[in-house]
Amino acid sequence: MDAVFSFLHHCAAAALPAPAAPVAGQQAGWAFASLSSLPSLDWLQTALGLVIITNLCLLAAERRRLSIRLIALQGVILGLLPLLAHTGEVDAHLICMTLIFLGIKGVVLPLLLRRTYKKLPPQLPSNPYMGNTACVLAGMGGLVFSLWFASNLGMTANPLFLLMFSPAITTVLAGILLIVTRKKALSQMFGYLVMENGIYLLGVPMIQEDAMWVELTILLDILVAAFVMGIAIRHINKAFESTDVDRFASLRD
Amino acid sequence: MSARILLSLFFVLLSVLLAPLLNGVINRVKAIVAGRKGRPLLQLYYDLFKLMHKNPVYSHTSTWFFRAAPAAGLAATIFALCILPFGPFAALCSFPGDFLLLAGLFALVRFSLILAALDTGSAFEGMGAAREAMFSALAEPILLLSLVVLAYHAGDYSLSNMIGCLHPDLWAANRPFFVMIAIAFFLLLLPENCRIPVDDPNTHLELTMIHEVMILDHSGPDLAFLEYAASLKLWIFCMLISGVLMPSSLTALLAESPPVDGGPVIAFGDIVLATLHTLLPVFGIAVLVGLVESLMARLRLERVPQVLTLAACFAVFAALVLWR
Repeated sequence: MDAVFSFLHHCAAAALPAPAAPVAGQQAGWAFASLSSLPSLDWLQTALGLVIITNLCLLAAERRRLSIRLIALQGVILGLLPLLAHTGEVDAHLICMTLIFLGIKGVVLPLLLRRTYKKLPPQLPSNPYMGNTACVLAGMGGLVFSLWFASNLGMTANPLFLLMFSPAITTVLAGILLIVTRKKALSQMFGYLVMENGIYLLGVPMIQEDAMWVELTILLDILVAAFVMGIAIRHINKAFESTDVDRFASLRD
Repeated sequence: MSARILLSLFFVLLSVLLAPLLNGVINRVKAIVAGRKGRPLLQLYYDLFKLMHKNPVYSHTSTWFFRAAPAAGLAATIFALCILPFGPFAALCSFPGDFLLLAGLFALVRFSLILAALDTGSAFEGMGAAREAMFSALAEPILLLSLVVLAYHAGDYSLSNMIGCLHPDLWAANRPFFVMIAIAFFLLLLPENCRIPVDDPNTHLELTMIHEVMILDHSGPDLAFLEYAASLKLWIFCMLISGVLMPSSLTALLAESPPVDGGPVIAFGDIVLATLHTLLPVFGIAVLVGLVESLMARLRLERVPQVLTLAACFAVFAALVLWR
């Protein structure tokens, strides 16, 4: 599988600044050197490839049960990222961090979503504002855009950041797309979580600088938000007998 | 006749002989997964043999085209086999741009099949023809995109150099690209060969059929030709995937050998090994198709474009890897 998705390596190579000026060349060389010193580069690229593929599957998914499973899968992959992106010794602090992210992103959030989903009465999948096929194509467009964006940004930052940048932007765009195209409140919440996953991806490269604590606080906020939204969706369902946001138009008198 | 041409001719014949076996493998896999014993592996051969000995029946409304289409389809498919390399061995006839001819021959087969279906004057077959036309119109650009990306990668426009001459080192350097293209081809194989989840080759329900409904009025040798052409097409797709996925160390040997006319340069053992190296993945893909058919339900017709979108996504992914 690592072979399948290591295409991101190529993307990262494209994102790196071209060695035009001597300084930039030096930095590019440094970037390649420090990326190749990563013990699990292949696995990291596989994980990032899988994140992009789960994004596309989420955009294509019609049934919310499948979406929840995909979000759980994405959560597990993202939870493992700190471990994969880490250079040097694996200490208790890192393992603890990975377990917390894995637990919240891969287990708690999907379980919360599942709980909300089970409490709602069974409904037929509603037609999104934009067809699933169009959504997937738009997601591909997002990937192309993020690759172009990453290669034109001219950043000379942490090489890990450059590797993560395009998948992160792709994930954020997929999340936004999910929010604006879906009609059901729960599906829009999926978009919100996917968007947060993208922002989390941008934060993972900072793991060496202990910035993960900031990530953790954001994640806890998201957890509370998911909890509150779950309750809100149930109340919306009670008041309107549906979670279809189209029906909110009937609020006007 | 040079040894290389003889060898290519032998591989075309081998393909022609082995192609119906793919259906047997798929059906056997389906039977095993379902816990049945299944029909014999060679069932399609028996069917073809039986059909060849029957007299065809033609309706009064049908014209000469209805009679000509099956033979034309089979001829076009066999010609497509002639421009396809067999593993590391170059195709029987290979020239720059032959990948366009491959797509064109597929289109020709489809065109004759659709016209023959419309020729029967039956609304039922017209419906199948309309479906086939619609899905193939979506699948064709993706096939061409995948082939163009492969041609761009190889820097050569003949199939033999695009997928036949993949050196293991070259393959390893671009692994993700080839795997993506192979996935795109596999996702194209399913609708192009009327397999589940797009079409069910076993049903004769009017709501579900695409390919089967078009050949409903054909009988006798005509039907045998159509069935045979369908199994050859499946073989061609499996060979395409096998070619993309399996680089052969023999390509290095072939490249180094002098322009073959002075007898066989490559050892016989190498040839046998390369043949097995090519055939194994072909039958492996047949097993995979059987597994997909056993584990998946048929999709609603309106969902079929989603499968093709997925194939397009993988082809575009591959192009992105290449062009960055």
